[in-house]
Amino acid sequence: MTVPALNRILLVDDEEDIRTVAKLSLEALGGFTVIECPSGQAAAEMASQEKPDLILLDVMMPGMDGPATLRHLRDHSSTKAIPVIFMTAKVQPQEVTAYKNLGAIAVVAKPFDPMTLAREIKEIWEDWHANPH
Amino acid sequence: MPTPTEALEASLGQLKADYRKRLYQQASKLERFQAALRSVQPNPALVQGIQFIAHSIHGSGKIFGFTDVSHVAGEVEDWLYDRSPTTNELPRLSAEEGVTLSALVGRLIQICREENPAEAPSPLLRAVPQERAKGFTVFLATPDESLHTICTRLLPPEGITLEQGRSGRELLDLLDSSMPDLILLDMDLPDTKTTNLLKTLRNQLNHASIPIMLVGGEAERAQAERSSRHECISKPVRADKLLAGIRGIREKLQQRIVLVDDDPLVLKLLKARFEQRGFEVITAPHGEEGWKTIQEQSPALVILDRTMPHMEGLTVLQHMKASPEHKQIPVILLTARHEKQDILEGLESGADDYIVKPFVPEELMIRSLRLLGICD
Repeated sequence: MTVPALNRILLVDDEEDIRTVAKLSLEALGGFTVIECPSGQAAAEMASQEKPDLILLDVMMPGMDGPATLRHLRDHSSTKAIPVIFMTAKVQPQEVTAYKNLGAIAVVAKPFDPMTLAREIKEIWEDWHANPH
Repeated sequence: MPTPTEALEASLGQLKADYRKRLYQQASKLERFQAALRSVQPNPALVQGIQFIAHSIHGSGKIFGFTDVSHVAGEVEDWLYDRSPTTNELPRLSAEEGVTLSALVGRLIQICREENPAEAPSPLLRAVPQERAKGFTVFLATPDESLHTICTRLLPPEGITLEQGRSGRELLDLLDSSMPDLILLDMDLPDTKTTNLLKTLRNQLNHASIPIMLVGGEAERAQAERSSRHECISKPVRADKLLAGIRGIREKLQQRIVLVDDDPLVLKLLKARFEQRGFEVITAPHGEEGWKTIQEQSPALVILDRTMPHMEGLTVLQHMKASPEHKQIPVILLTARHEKQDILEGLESGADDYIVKPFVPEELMIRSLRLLGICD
């Protein structure tokens, strides 16, 4: 099957510095368009408005955290089909499994390497489309 | 020309230098909280302030390589979380716990201060490209053999290196391995529509600033002139017209630019990049010197930092706009992120464009070349 193009990424993280670095790196090396979003609450709204191809979601955020945001996205028809990748410092195997059970397609470890993040996201995207889910 | 990786490294270097300075400021804020902890019972505002900074440093420190700082901030954050009744509630601390928190905060202050910006060499320097002899390379993409013949005869005697392709695909392959100073593009390619190819090039950060000269029949030419700012020459191509067009673009790329910024690293980085493209670059370390330089040199473009000692960017801009000889010179204003609300003010005072710091150098290059009428 052909893999659809990955263009628009919604990047949800409460840390402005992390958003800046991730956006720079994804745009410069991946050629993606990155829309920044500072919180889970905002993400719930922006995901349905901006219609991203993919959402990169921080797990630890004040207020609505990553898992709560993912549940919200899955409960709404306009956003439930958008694939979500979690970003977190905790990447124990059992936690990765737990996050995937929540509906995330993959987990990216923090801190990520800005030089390889775009490639990693691209590979996850291609794998996910190549394998039935 | 820098690869996207080099451009990214340069931006990250800038961000890291900026972050180091902010760690120092965060330490000063923490110091005020610590002093307050010593004099009053720990209250929610205090605890929240400390938690906010610790969470922020914990999350962002590692991304810039400040692992130790991030780790200590993480300990403060975890300690506070352990004492919170639920994840979204603040802990109520006793006086004794206030003393412990004060000690933890003290460690964080200390380690933030160890990242003193004055002592560490800036990673930005690593990213400055090596100077190289400035040649001029043209990529030609056309299936038209007569155009290949004309260029092979005409360009090498001008000191121009010519690389040849016969389709859009071949042009993209050439671009994968190196960067030309100019692309000469036939509007009638066998494998791709020119509009699509132009769009592809425009959307790539490292290709968007390459000047393009289009070659086409009368109808295509008229169409291109309506939809883009690229220079067009019509078929059949006359050698003198072609040469004049290429020389024109080459001369535009050799114009003089004045850079005014109080950060010597930014000056060094940008100077190297613009010189690599062929420009003559004169730098000034602050506004007063900048305005003097602009008057002496009459540059084709001015790149102006907004916040500087002696005379700030907007004042230089006002001087330029008040002077009949200088008011036509295009100006790009560099504005720090937290000054975003001032951008409007900058544009109202006559800047032609602005870039928010930290920026990708390639973006500044694209905008500069656009203002100089060199790329679309």
